This record gives sequence, structure tokens and C-alpha cells, in this order.
Amino acid sequence: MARTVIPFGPQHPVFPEPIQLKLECEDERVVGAVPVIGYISRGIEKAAELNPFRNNIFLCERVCGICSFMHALCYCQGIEDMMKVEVPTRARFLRVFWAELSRMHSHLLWLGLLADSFGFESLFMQVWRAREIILDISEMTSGHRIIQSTNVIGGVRRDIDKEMAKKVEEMLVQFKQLTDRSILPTILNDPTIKERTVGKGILTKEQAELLAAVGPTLRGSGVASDMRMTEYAAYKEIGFEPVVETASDSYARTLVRVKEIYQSLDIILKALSMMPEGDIAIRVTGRPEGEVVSRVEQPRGELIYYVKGNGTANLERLKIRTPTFANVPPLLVMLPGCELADVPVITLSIDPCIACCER
Amino acid sequence: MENEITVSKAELITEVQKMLAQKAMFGTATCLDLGERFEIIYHFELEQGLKMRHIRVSLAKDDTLPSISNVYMCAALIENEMQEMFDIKISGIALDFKRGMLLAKESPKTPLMKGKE
Repeated sequence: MARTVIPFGPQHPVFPEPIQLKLECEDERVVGAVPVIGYISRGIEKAAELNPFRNNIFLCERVCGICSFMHALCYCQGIEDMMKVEVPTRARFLRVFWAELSRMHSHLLWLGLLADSFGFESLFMQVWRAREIILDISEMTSGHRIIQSTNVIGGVRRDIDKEMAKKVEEMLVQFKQLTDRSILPTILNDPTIKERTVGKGILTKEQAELLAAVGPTLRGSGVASDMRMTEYAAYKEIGFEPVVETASDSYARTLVRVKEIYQSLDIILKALSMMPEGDIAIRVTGRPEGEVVSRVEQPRGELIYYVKGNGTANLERLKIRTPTFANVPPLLVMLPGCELADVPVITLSIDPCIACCER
Repeated sequence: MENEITVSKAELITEVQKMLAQKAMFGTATCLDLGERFEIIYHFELEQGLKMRHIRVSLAKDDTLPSISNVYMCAALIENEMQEMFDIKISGIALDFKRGMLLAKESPKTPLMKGKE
């Protein structure tokens, strides 16, 4: 059969950011895919060498808007590790609080976009209505709905007092009631969602490991890997078990994220209740020298920062490996064999963040 | 860094194959411009990502590095990126974008090399 190459993107209704997939098709069936990226590469790694290392926190926060807190956390942890800084316990709990809040709003953003991609507009609106509660908590505790910007080298810049913590708990109860009532039953039972996601975009456990998938893409294929298991910040005290699904399809990846929303809610409540009194930051002097690898679990998967300092105010090298960059090769294995109409859902199932990917 | 070994260019593929045999997952690779030469660090993950292992290779600037993408296909993207950002020569990349993956034609060439400020 004759093959046709169909450009999917860079401008497409399901992509919030530009990326192109060159789809090789036989009739309506995809038989191969090649990614075309580079539309929004901003040279952030180079900029990080030119900035004083303390200013890089703000730069890292802008690798990606949605995961901004995670980028700053990963960077700060790397610098703190290099400079042998011990962060106050309260600050570590506060970092977990904002990290999980980021995960919740990221997963909810994605879930709304997924619903929108197959025309389930009412679910899209319900999900984003629930997400507003999380964004309100973010604004109340950090001063910003998305870019919390609370990390500093040596801790955090904002605290949460008891009154605010109580208000957060009330808002999370409200969020859980709304999610239990109008989102979870739909995800679990609606035939439309299953029709569009079950059996679509299969990534076997062996493929996921060999192609180095990360995050919900990896855990949806039955691999219990999550950087929170390395017990950074306060995950050791709070305790953590990864969410794993074994069906290896787009629905499995959806379930991982939905369960992680609930898991993050529990972690936030634990963090608030277990958080000890004390300082939220220590003063850090000196300049970083040496090299470290820092890793955190971003909503989309493992984030890796390689940081090399040379004892001056500027870094020698900052290398950022984002989860979407890691999940592109697995995507190229998921697509062959699918129908053209399934490409949007399968592509979204890795939760692509192109700004992250290209930096 | 902990769990790091330094190997020669000739030993690289053998060492990477050993990582595959141990079911290590490929993390990423970092290229460093050290003036006279490049240094490339390959980062691997073991035990569901709980542990890391690093392989460091030193390379003269006019030398060519063999691609590891025939062992770990997923390394092809970062190898393409290193070629574009550092002007490092890598042979046999499984999916070669010919230095057109991230940078546009009018973009500054090899921007991550030192002295390109």
C-alpha cells in the first residue's frame, strides 16, 4: 500500500505548544513517526552560565510554567548538595507542600486537556473548575497561582501559619468532594473515555525500560519508579509508595495521574500536620564548587539537573534533562499501528511539555 | 560524583553494553567543554532509578565519538543535541537530525561551547 507522510502540528488544537510529528501512514493507519522539535528552544542552559548562580532560580522556574516549582527545587537541592547546606526541616516539609500542589494542578490541567482532545467538554470544564481550588490555594500560600517562586538556596521564602493551614485543609476537603462527585466516577465508568484510551498507545514494560520512559508514562507500564522514593525533601518522614498500573495503555497512564492527584492530596495533609516549628531558611554564603546530579519527580516524571560549579559566582555548566525529552522516544513506539484519529490522545498520554523539552 | 568510572573512547560501547546487561535505564548525557577537549558523562539508573552510575569519556576536539544509540536508541536525541550545541562529532546516531533538531538555520552555531558569549 502507498504510504503518505502527514505533518501533525506544529500548530494543532490538542497541542498547547508547538511540536510536529511527521506521521507515515498507510491509509488511516500510522506506521511510523518522526518528531520535529526546536520551535521554542530558548538557550536556558547557556543563560544559566551567564547568570550569577543565585539568580538561576528564577531562570529555572521559567523552563516551564506548570512545573516551575519543581525546576527551582531541583536546582536548589543541587546547589545545596554541592555546598553541603542542611536545609531546615520545616522548609523541607514546605517544599513537599508546594511540590505536591504543583503536581495536582499539573495533572488536572492535563486531565482537562485530555477530555478536550476527544470532545468531552463537560468533563474538561468540571476538571478545570476543580483545578481552580488548587490554584486558589497556591495563590493564598505563595502569592501566585502558578509560579509559586518560594524556593531559595537554603530553604523557602514563605511560611504557612496555622490559620492558613486550616483554610488549606478546608479547601482540600471541598476539592475532594467535587472530584469524588463529578470527576472520578466519570473517569472510572464512562464508556467514551475507555473507548478512546483503553488499548491505545501500548508501551510494554520492556519497551518503557529500554527507552527510558519516566513518570506516569513509565508507571503506567508497570514499573514502580518514582524519584520521591529517593526520599528527598521530607518524603522520608512522610512516607511514599509509587502509583503503578500495568495495562501499559493510555487509560493506564490516565489512571496513574488520577490516583496521584488523590495521593498528592494525602501527602499535603500529612505535610501540614507533621511539619515542625522552626526556621524556614538558613543563610548560605560562599560559592559552589564541584559537580552534582540532582533529581526530583516532576508531574511528568523524573527531572535531572547536572550542576558544575567552579568556585565563582557563575556556574561552569548546568544541564537539564526534562521528562518530556525522555518520553519522546517511547512516544515514537506507541504510535505505529494506531489509527490517525488516535494520535492526539496517544500523544497527550505522555503529557508533553514542549517548553520543558526544548529549554 | 559517586559511582563514576572513566573510560576511553574505545571502551565506551563495551561499558554501555554492560549497563544494558544489568538492565540499567539510560538517564541522559552531559557534555562539558574543557577548552582543549570535551568531556562527556553518560548517566544511567539502576534499581528503579534509586541508584545512578556515570560513565565519563574524554575526547579531543577533533576526534569522533561513537554513538551509543545502537545500544540505547533513546540516547539519539541527546546525542543530536550535543552535536548541535558543542560541535562534537558523533558517528552512527540511529536518528540523525544533521544538526537541525533544536536550532534554526539563523540561530547561533554551537552556543554551549565556551567563548561563544
